[in-house]
Amino acid sequence: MDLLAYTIIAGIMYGIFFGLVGLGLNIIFGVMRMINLAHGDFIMLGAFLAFWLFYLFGINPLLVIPIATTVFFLIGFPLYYAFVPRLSKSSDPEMLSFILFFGLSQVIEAVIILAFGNNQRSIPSTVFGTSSFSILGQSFPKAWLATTLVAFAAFIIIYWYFRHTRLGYATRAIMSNREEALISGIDIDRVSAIAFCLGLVFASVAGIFSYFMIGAAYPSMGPDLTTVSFAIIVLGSLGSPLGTVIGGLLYGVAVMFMQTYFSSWANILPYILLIVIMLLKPEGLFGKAARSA
Amino acid sequence: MLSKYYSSLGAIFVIIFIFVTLPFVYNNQSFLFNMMMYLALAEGLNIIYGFTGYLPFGYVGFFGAGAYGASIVIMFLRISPFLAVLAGGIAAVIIGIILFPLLRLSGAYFAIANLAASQALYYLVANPNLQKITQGPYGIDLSSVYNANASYYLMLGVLVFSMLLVLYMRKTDFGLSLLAIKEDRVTAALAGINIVKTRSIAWMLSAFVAGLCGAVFAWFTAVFYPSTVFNLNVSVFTIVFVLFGGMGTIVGPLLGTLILYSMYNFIGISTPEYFQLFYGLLIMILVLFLPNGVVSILQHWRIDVP
Amino acid sequence: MSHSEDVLLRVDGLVKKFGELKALNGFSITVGKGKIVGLAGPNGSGKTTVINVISGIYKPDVGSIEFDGKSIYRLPSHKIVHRGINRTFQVPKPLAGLTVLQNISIAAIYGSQAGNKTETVKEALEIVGLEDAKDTLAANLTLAQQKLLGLARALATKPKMLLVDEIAAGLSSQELQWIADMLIHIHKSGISMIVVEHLMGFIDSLTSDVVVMNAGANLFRGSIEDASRNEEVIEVFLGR
Repeated sequence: MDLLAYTIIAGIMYGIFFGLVGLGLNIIFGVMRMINLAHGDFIMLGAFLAFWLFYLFGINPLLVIPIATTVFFLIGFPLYYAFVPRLSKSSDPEMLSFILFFGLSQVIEAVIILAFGNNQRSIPSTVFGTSSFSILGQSFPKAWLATTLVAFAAFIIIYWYFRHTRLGYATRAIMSNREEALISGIDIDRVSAIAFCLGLVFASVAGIFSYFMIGAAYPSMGPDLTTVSFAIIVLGSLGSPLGTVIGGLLYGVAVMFMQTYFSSWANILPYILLIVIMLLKPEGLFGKAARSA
Repeated sequence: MLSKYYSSLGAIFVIIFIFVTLPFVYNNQSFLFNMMMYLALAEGLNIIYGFTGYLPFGYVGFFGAGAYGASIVIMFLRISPFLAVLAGGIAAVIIGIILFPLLRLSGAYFAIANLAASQALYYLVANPNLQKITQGPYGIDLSSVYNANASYYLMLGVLVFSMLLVLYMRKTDFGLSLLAIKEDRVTAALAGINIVKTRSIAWMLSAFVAGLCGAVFAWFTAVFYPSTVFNLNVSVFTIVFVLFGGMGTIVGPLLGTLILYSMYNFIGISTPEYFQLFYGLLIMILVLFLPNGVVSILQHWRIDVP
Repeated sequence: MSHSEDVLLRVDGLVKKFGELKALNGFSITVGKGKIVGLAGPNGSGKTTVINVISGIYKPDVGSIEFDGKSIYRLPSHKIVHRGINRTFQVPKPLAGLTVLQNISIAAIYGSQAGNKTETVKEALEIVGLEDAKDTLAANLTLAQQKLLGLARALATKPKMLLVDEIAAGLSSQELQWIADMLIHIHKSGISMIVVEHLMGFIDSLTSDVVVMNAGANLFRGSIEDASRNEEVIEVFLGR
């Protein structure tokens, strides 16, 4: 019973974190109808930013969050305006953006390797103290608690943004109907650019805390994380950011169960999940908008 | 009647000539082999991507299936490597048939699901529980049947086969029907085309070519690991080569591969990241400014590209 | 309708749902051999859905569709084409990257079972008058030309029945007259038709037999003259 309780509780914490891993991808997909194939690489960038700030200046990962937010807004705006408006007008925005972001992913990975070498990096989880905490008799490192709380806060913030701010309201309008949003006078590019930046910011925050949930960070970790993130958002609900938390939870609990009881098959799980869900329910387990042909 | 084939057949003869004569003046057989392999893979990917628009990000899955399919029959049945290569091609076709349902997905969704499928296959093959069949993560050793020259010329055969396939598709109603599906599925159906059957055939042909490539690669390399033949870079390189050259033609993928793979060997072998940075930027530039590849420049100058 | 052997198409009790919405709610229609039936109704009444279901683009949820004495219910589009039904689109959907000739050839090759394909293509080109544009990319045609191409593509499959979906939309009155004459010419060669149109005037120039539908179901069948006096018909067209 202890093992089962541990698996479930760990799965939930793990799952909330993985909700955060997928969140940025889903925001960008929801607003722009484009798959950011460099999503995993932005997670990696967040992880490297946190590593160097910790390594050089001893900055706590929690304090990296505001820095990452600033950095990725500064990166996101020019990136958006350089590519997206042009792609939106092209013959096949979905496919061309997919390929473009794939190119971007390769560029990011190469630049990081050339700059910092192809090495694994990690931040010790003791940065949040050596003591552990316990839930229902199961004990976990403090870093897990910090990560789970940050991920949870991210969902609260995005909920608040969508429900209680003008920009968030405009973002939701674009997500539900782009044409109507355009007619009603919403500046689609500005709102989308902000959503794009938010997507990158949430990806980087997931990266900052990735050390405590998935271990070391390395420059080529991006593509796998992108695939996992896509599995999570398909599992939750493609194009509805808040649904990502459900996808993350399902994924987290499933992975923990696999690792506990069928560990040698655990690494195949996200891929099988992704394929099965896309074939059976392409709109996601809890979604509406189907995207199959 | 034959005249419409002249320019394409010419291109094929040039390729044969190059790879038959080059070994006598340039003794880097491994480079020449890999070049032929990527040329064949590019033509194979061209069949599904260039003619139907499905972007197979998990194309390497077929390559790996071919490598393992051939190796397993060599190890267990002790048959000739030539037959084993055919078995590798068939293994890839079987994987293709299992993946038929993915063709229901459109655009980027297909690409991602296919990527996931190739990763799933990789983890399946590399799983220690299957060690009795696949040797799990410990890899394959075919050194007992190793024959560099035979496998080199067999690769040339596979390359010629892949080019003939694309030539067939360029010149026949079958290829035209695929292009029709790519343009508009509904209209294609109303022209009487059986969409499911037609695209499935293209998918299997494309898988077959990759399977043959993987199988010959296994024979040529003799010792390899799951991570060698399921390396995502195989998909990535092939896609980049086809995109750069221009899809839907015979010459586009050839040009793209000849130029970029040579470049990879000059700048990429010691520090692959420089090449990665280069092709990453190249992809972004292509998407924005030249989505139909280099051949579209030639076509713009009214040069007929076979 | 008269004896069953004279019936080419018999559609009965068709239901098509999109989620909660019932786009078709028990719609029925019969078309006799060699006849033209007009299908009219207000916007959103389900006219185009009828065409989409008969031509196999949408799978119906309930009902039956018999063509030439055999069921074509829920068959895929290409099989329905092979049985002898084809259609045009209100918004043309040409194979934009292919030439006019390729667009029509492919339909002749894959769409019809018998006959000299070259001859079929030539005929189709002649009927719609696109001979001079045969090497043009479909993407470069005008809207009216793309509609004609759609018609030629359909004809190249040698159909027994043609479903014509709002072909008049967006055309000038001159082009309208021309297309009406063309449809009459096609009809004379023995092809039955369902002509979907918002404009009663256009239907009137082709046939006097009309079905009026509303909210996915039948409202009226008879002559256009009677339709114009029918109170229910007047109400759905004018009353809202």
